[in-house]
Amino acid sequence: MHDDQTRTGAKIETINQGLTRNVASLGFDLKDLVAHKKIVLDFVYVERSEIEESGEYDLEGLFIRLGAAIDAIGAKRVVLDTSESLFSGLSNPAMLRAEFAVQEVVSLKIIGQETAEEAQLAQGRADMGVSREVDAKPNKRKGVPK
Amino acid sequence: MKTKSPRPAQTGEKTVPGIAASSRYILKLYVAGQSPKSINAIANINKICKENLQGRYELEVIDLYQQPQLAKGDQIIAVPTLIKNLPLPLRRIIGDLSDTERVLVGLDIRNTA
Repeated sequence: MHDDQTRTGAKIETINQGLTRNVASLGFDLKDLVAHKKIVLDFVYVERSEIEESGEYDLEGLFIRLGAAIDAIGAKRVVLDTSESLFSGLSNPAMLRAEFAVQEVVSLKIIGQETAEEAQLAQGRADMGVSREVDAKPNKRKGVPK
Repeated sequence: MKTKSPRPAQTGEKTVPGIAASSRYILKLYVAGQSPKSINAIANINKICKENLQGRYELEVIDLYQQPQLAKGDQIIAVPTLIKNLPLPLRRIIGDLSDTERVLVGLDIRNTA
């Protein structure tokens, strides 16, 4: 249990370091922004091999996390980079699209991702390509009938 | 009949003898409020545990509306999510757990059919 969390934590740490380095080249000091509560970083980790699906689910967990991150600093904007990792990690793309649509974080880009993995391979996407910005309204969806 | 074959000859119908059959299970179920999916998941996992893991499991139910900060630490994305912390390997079962076979496979109680 701790082993796995440590591994996940280490992976996230590595990714955050890479992100910090890349953003620094654009003139932003991420560590400083985090320290001054101007920005919150969260990393979504989806490991297909450890996931089994049984019955209906939604992405409320992700949106609760987004909500908590937004509330932590009173964020005005949210950047998701990238939703491809969700599409490759979960087996129900129709549900994922519906979830994002309901959340109004939908973009043409998300809808167009039929072959996210191929697109990723083809693009050789840099690990910090900021893909889209959305308005911060994470809790709007509560109570929406499915 | 005293052979301890790790795999039953017939497909997927028998429980697997071995480590999983005697291990203690540490499970966490993450739900969001009183949604139908959440309520179903709680009912389903309670039933599955009673029928398959009698006396050797710990199940903690966490409502993310009450404790949103816990979602990040356990990397919760989908809801409901059942996490099998022990026995290893860690496994996440997402959904309302209505497909009992898939839950049993995910918990390593049953072989993949």
